Amino acid sequence: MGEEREDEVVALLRRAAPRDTPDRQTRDRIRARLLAELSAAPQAAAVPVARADS
Amino acid sequence: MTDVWRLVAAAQDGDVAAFGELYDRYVDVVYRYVLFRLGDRALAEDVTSETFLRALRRIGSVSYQGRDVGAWFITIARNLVLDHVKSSRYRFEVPTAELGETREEHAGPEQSVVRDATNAEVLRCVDKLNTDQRECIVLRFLHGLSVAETAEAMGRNEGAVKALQHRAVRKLAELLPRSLR
Repeated sequence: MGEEREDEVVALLRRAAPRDTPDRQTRDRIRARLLAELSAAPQAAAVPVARADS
Repeated sequence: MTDVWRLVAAAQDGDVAAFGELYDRYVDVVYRYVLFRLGDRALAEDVTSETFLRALRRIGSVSYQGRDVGAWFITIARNLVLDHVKSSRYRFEVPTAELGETREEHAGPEQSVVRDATNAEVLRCVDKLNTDQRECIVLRFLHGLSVAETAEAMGRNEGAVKALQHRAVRKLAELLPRSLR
């Protein structure tokens, strides 16, 4: 099997790559869940690792 | 350090807006990956959401390695997808049903039909690869990750990924009809 054919295969794969993106509503719903999580546990998000000055 | 890694550093210091910017940059990439793997929009939304929640909880653990932080998000998403597959006996396969939605708008209807058929055949052949080869091909070429990023996502070294990729491409060259190019 030649390199030329393998290059063609890679080109076919790249052309077959999905292009789906979430719509605005989906994006906003996911963001809302994140915000809810942040509101529920602000300390976990704000101080993820032990700080030297703590 | 890149702008994105500066955002990561800010998020690690508790800057919620910085994490929000990371979300805006990577939500499409993560959602696309999850939808592609699971083929269900509602499930993709749930898993994408969980990916960012998990990323938020673990943001302190990620460190700059000269790569796009997108690979880290994909790694989290991949683990969640695998958890889902294990828990539900979901058959891992490359979905082809929604290809019609990916066609380029400027293409004519005949070109679109041909391209969709070609893409469907390509993905059917990808589905025939073994699990590791398929994962490598999906990450490298369908989602555009680098070798280093794919290695990170798969928990392999770069040499192993290069070898997997080589064998997978050769196998696909055998599987795909010569007429497809």
